[in-house]
Parts: sequence; structure tokens; C-alpha cells
Amino acid sequence: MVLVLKFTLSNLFFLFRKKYMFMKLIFLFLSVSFFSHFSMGQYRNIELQAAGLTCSLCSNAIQKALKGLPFVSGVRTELKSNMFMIDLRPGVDVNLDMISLKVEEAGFSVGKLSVEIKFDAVQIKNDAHVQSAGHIFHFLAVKPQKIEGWQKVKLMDKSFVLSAEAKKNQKLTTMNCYKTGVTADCCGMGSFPKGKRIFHVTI
Amino acid sequence: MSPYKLNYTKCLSLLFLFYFSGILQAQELYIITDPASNIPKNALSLRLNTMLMPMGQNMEGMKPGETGFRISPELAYGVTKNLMVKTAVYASDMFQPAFRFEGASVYAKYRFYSRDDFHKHFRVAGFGKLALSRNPYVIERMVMHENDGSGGNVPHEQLVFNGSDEQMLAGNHSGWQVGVVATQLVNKLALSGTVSGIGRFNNTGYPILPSDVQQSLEYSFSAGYLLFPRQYDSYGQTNLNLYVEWMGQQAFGKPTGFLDMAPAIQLIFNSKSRIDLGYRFQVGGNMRRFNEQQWLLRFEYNWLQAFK
Repeated sequence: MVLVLKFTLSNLFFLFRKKYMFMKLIFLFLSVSFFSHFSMGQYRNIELQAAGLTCSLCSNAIQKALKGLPFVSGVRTELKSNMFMIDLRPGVDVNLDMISLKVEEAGFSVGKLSVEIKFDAVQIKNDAHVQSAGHIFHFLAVKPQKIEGWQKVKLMDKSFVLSAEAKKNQKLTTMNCYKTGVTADCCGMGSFPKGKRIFHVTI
Repeated sequence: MSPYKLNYTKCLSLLFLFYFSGILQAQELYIITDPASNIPKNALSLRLNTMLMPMGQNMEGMKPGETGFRISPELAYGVTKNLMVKTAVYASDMFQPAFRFEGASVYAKYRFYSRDDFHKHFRVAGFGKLALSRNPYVIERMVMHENDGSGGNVPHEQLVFNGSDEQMLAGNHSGWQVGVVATQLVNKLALSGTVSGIGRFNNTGYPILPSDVQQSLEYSFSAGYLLFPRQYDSYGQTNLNLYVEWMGQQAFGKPTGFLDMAPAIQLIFNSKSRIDLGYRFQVGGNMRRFNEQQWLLRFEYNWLQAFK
């Protein structure tokens, strides 16, 4: 629905000239704030633990970097353990890779990241891929089960765990997609498009 | 090479102070040296360094007891997560009739190895520095006496160039430095070691190199602790950090060198500004230097996410 709306809006904007810029901005603001209540987020309750730091100056750098992300509305911090609880802006697409990138740009790395994801009704099993809510997930170290709705997962990709853990996770699968982070022939082509971001997760 | 006369009592007492103080966490925002970690990407850091440098008393032509004063504003920027650059300008009254601008330096550091763990990290970085100075190096107009051929002495004035064998790129000399720094943070202890080659070239406007030591090996070892707060609750808490650093130079191919020690105290406010106070003094060595001791007072302010 949002996509259709965006398309319509962009066509409308094209008709406007520069002198209507102010109106355009008001219109955009109104439409965004109106429709954001209706767009359903697929992620919530992102919690990350940063690694490689002990000082509050360092933690502050991470907090500021995360706050600059377009989909982040606020960051709450547990300074003792370097935990960051990320509040999401409704209606804005969440990019988990950007979170990892921002922590690295601040000079540190993500040691642990968990997130609640809204899954379609899917059957999952160990070392297999599922597509849900527009994303592709590769489940590792799980028992076969059916999941539906909000489910907390822990990310296993190397940009979301300590390097020692990434080595262990690597052994949980023989597929190449753990190394590359994108879908390839290993992922059962035909059902998944090639070269798409794939997140390795566990429950 | 004459053996260094280390002031072991001072060294050991500070070591013990650090070792047994039972402090909670370590810090690596060292006062004299730089750690292998960089400032965050897109962060801008402004420093104002002020240094008081009592002149050495063992050098020919120096005025013992005189104290040099130097100011050095410094600006650092995080270009990428691995690369930071820093530039500084220097002004002092050292060997000059009045306080004036002396020179500038550029510095870059690239972090090429990083291994993070919870409350731990090990990092290695390479760095380079280039400094230009127009400091005149002249400290005294010496009055020399010369035989005039008829039995009388004719006094005449002569400039005496300072002979410092220390490479001092923060204002005194033009020169270069290339080195490697490794920093290990393990739970309650942050340790850092640096090894670099450092050399000089003629100061701007002064064609005579005032030393026959042109290149030296510079090395340092630093340790830091967080004394307060005992536990982090908010970014507004004032941090109190204690540091001790050792740094020395050894001339390439010449039996001359020195070793300094620098205890320091640091306050961090609101997780973005800091004040450092350090005292650096020589604990051993036989190198000719301008200053064997130095007081440093620094104010630093950081803008995280400086540019949108």
C-alpha cells in the first residue's frame, strides 16, 4: 500500500513546480505522518551488545552513530554491559546491516544482536532457508518447527557476532552463503532470487 | 654507551600504585602517545595543548631555570572507520625573543588489525607524521674573545646553535616519523606500545642541522585506568582516569638515548570533552636535550557525527 502511495505521490510532485516547494513539503509531511500509522513494521525490539570498548566516550560514539540512522527514533543504553536498545521509527524500512556498519564506523563491532521479526506462517528446519515477509532467512542450530508472528531471533552472520563465534557458526553449515551473506546456488535456486541479502539466524 | 641512570624508586612506586589500586576499567585515551584505536568516523576532535618546558641545565649556553611556553591547537578527524588525520600548529617562546608561531604538523593513522571481544580489544595501526618548524634554535648570543694579533682580546658576538640530539617534532624541529602502534585492552588493563623511526631535516630558514643525530628509534609503553566512576550509569558522569607512560629515543648508530616517564591524570565530562594534566620527566639517558621535563595541560572537545 505504501509503495502504491509513494508512486502516486511522486507523480503528483512531478506536476508541482519549484514555487510550490513549500506546499510540497507540507503535503509530504502530512502524508508521511498520516500513513506511518498504518504501515506495519516487520522488526521490533532490536537489542545489540557492542564489543571492544569499556569507556563511556566510546559508548557515546556508538549511540550517536545509531541515532543518525533514518529508521531509528531513539537509542537506550545499558552502559555497564554496552547494550543498546534501538527504538524504531514506524513505517521506515529497517536495514540491519546499517546498524553493524554504524557500530564499526564508531570504531567498534557488534558482539551480539537480537531482534523480533514478524514471520508469516513458515515451517523452519536446521540449515535451511525460508522466505518470510519479503526477507530470506537461513536458520541455524534450530529444531524443526512452525513459527508464525513475532519471533525473537539472534543474528549469526559474522558482522553481528564476535569473530570467535563467527568461526563456530561457519561450521554449522556447509553452504557458501554464510561467507558471502547473499543467496547463491547453495540456497536452492528457483525458490529464491540470486544475489539477495540473506540473514543467518537462530532462535 | 653509558648506562642509563634510571630513577627506579619513582618508576616502581608508580607501577605499584597502578598494579594494586584495584581499579575497575582501563582506558586508552593516552596523554602523550596515541593508541591504535582511531577516533570515530565523522568525528571532529579539537585540542588545545599548553606546555611548560623548564630548560635543561646541562647544556652549553642554556639559561638554567628558564621555562619555555608552547601552545598547540590540534584538530583531528575520522575519515573512515580505519583512517584518521590530525593537524596541529605550534607557537612558543622557546629560543625566540617573543612568543610567536613556529610551525605545523600533519599526522595520519591507519588501523589495519582489529579484534574485538566484550570489554576487550586488540588493535594494530600504522602512522606517519610530517612536521615543519621555523624555530630558530638559537638560544644565546655568546660573547667570544679573539686575539687581535697585538696581544689584546677583541670581544665579538656569535650565535650559538642549540645542539639537541632529541627528535622533537611538536614545534622544535622539522622532521618525519613513521611507526606502528599496538594496543591491548584486557578487562581492567589497557596497554599500548609504539615503535617508530623518527628523523629531522633543516628547520625552515635555518640551513645548519644543529645535531649530528639525524635519525632515532622512538619507543613507548603506556598504561591507563579508569578510577571513577566505579560503575557507569549515564553519559553525564565525570570520569577520572590515571595514566603512566614511558617513552624513549635511541639514536641510530650513536650511543645516545633517553627514557622518560609521564604520569598523568584525566577528567572526561559528559562523554565528549576532557582535560589532561601530565608531567613528563627523564628517568635515564645521556642524550643532549632542550628539556628533560615538561608539564602538559590539555583541553579537548569532541563533536561526534560532526558533518551530516
